[in-house]
Amino acid sequence: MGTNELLPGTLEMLILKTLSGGPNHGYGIAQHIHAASAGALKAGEGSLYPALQRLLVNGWVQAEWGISENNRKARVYKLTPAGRKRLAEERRQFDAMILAIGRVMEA
Amino acid sequence: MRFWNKVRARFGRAAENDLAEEMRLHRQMIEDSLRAQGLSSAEARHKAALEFGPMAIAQEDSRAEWSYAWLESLWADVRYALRTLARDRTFAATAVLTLAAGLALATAAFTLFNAYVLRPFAVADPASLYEVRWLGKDRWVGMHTWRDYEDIRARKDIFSAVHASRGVFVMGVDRHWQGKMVTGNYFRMLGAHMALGRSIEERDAQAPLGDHVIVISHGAWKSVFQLDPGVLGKKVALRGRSFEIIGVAAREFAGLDGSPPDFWAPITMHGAFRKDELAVEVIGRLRDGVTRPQAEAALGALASRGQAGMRAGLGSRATVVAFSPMMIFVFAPVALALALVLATCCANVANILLARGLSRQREIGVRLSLGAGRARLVRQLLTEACVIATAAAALGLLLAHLLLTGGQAVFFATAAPEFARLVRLHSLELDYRVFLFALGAALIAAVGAALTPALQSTRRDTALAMRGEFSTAFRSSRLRDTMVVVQVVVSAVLLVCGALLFRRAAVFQAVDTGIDARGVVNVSAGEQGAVLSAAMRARPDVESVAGASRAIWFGRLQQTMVIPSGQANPRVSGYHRVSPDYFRLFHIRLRSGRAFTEEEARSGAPVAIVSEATARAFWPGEDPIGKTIVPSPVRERHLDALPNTGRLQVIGVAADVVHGWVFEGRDRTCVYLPVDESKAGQLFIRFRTGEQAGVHRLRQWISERLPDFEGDSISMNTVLDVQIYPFRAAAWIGWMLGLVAMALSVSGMYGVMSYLVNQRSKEIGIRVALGASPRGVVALVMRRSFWLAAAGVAVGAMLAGGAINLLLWWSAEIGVLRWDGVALVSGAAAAGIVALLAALGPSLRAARVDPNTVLRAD
Repeated sequence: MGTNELLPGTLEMLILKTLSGGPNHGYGIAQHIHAASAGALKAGEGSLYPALQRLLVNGWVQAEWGISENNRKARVYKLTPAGRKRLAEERRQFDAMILAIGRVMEA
Repeated sequence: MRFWNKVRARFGRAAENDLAEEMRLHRQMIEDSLRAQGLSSAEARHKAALEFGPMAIAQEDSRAEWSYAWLESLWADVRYALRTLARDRTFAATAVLTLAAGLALATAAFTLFNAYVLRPFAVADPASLYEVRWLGKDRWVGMHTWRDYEDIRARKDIFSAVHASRGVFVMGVDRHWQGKMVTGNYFRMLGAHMALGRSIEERDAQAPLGDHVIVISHGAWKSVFQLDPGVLGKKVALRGRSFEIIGVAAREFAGLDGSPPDFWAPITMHGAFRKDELAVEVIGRLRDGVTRPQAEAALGALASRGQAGMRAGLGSRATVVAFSPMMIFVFAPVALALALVLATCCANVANILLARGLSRQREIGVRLSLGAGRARLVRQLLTEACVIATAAAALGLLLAHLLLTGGQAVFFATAAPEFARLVRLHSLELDYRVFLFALGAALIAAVGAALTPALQSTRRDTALAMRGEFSTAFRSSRLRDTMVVVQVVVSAVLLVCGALLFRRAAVFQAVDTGIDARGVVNVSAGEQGAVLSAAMRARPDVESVAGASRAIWFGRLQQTMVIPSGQANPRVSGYHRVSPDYFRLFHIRLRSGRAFTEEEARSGAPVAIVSEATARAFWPGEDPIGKTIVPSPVRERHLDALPNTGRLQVIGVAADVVHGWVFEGRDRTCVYLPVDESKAGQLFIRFRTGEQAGVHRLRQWISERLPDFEGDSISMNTVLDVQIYPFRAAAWIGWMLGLVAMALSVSGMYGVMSYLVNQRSKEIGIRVALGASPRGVVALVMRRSFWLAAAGVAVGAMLAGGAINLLLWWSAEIGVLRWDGVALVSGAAAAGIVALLAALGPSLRAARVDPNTVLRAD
């Protein structure tokens, strides 16, 4: 299972993107990032939870206790309107960054 | 938003548990999925744990997102500071006490300054209140006619409100009443609140039917009526009339005067209190948008109406003492002395902190090598200083409070009781300004004191620090030497000033006035002289009675111009009109000739008696009896013209006495003229019972027989006490400051030398090991102390000389002080000797340094 290190600051964006598809719990978020990147990215729990706390602090996500799909108790995160705006913002910045890096690499 | 999210999360303990629970569940989900892939329970748990990583660290990192890191480390710093201070109690106590002592002095002084200069009167919008005065070339008039008041009040375009008032002093048998007669709008205009009843209103002060009502102050309510809630409606007898109490002013309301009144009465009661013409002080509230110069210009016509050339001037009545350059000038020497004391305290605390920073060098070195940031270390040392400052500020406030209450108690206990009974002080409570001042001063002091040591003790080479070896780089630091010198300088200056004032006060106290005033009471009899003098002469407890046209010891003798016979030019001379018995009553000896006769006094005969000094000045070497003096016209304003009675024949020579200020000594010239006792104005009565009982009996008699009598009575010795008291008080304050400064310089010298000995113990050990004698070691330390003390004494003596000159210049107007070489030399020498004595302890300790111990330490 080869994993790549994430670019700094991109984990938040990935979490926000994951939650934009619907509320999810920590395990679900980690699984989704792993699966959606076809196993290329792995959000380690050591960085996942601090990142989630940062998003909570900034009010971009909300959390409440709920039940997971296989009937376990889980804390479910939900995107807030501010979070949705933030995602769009990060997306824009990320695209600009990738574009810029691409140009440099192809120059 | 962010902030509240943090606070919510931080203070909900649940958040913490949530996080742990969440992570546990997360791991279980991984386990579940692994089991679903066919792993055994144990394998799944193991693998899940591996995959999840260390949970504690994840939790820690997550928590860090929520907290204010700096806040946490600040709290840690404070806790750490408290812990280290608790471990080293002597150090903490010394630092806190030193700083608190300085702060207490500064705070007490600031409280006085605040009460009289900074704190506005407790009235509505005090800043817009101005007193109206007419200013001439060389004089100003503060009392106005009623017509002037009405015309000023009519200027509604300048003032939104104007009131008039006049002070009155009613002397009772035991209790005196200081009063203010006011117009009916006074209380409303000042927005005064009442503790009980109502204030004086327009209907109370309507001429000619004013009511016999008064409002009493909170202070009088407390001291006379013991806060009796049923005081309203009670009657107070003043000047033989009965006044009904209609209200009690709120505690904070003390009027607009330097000395807060005991009662207020309607201005229409003027005739009941005073027989002179009505003249009033006028205070107006300037309208918004009207500037002071505009108002002064607008009132110009009114000012010059009475007398050409006068113009209007407005003086602020927001505070007791108007904040002006003059005021700053007057307070500057005191402020300077206090600043010096406070600076010395700071220097000492800095020294203590510095020495401590050095003794903690190893600890700091270890912390630096473990990767502690320098900023973090400095912050930690500063936190420690702030903890000390906070404690010192609290203690300092307490001490200042004790100092002020103690000082007032001492004042009322040591001042002549008669005098103390006349004094009304403004509240000297420590208000928020004082508190802010103390805290601000403490913080500045502590941070100032801590900053240098903090920077110095962290400016370290890590490698050296680990070994605890940076004393070498430190030795050349001139900072501490400077501090010691400065302390010796400060204590020298203050000791010199203290000695100067003390010696002056001692001189004044020992002055022989030449007037035997024991048992003598002075009463300003005015029109009632005949009645009083006849009644007093008839009493068996009265030994003798005499009269004079002026009270004595209340100011200089009146001066006039005379031409002594045999001289061409007129010269200035003091004069004093006295009754025939004056010399006998005061036991003033007549050197030659005779006293006035009753007949001469009654007819105002052209005769004079001169003092010995006058005789020497006018006719040196000649017999003055039979010489003549011719009154001459005067031009200067401060001189009086004598009525032109022709030549005055000198019939007697009296011994020299002090009639004026004690500090000016015996009269340089004094020509006595005769006056009839009953018309003289002032009466002196010698009681056989002593002055205290005498004053009481006189006042008793007056209150029974002459209830509307206006004059004041006071024992002569009280007058003298009042004259000398300021010097005694100044001398005590001078000594106190000097002693504090001395104590500080002792602790400073001791601290620095102990530190020096500790720091150089290795070197001293080597010297001893190489055969240095104990005497040599003591000399090593004492030599250094000597040079520091000598430098301090030298600079101190120079500055003290400057300070004396400043004091002389400052008090030149009253000419009280003299240049005092003894005070200068003894004060400076005391400072130096004490500093050297302080260094003796550490130097003896240095002599006991055991090379075996110190050289093995590393």
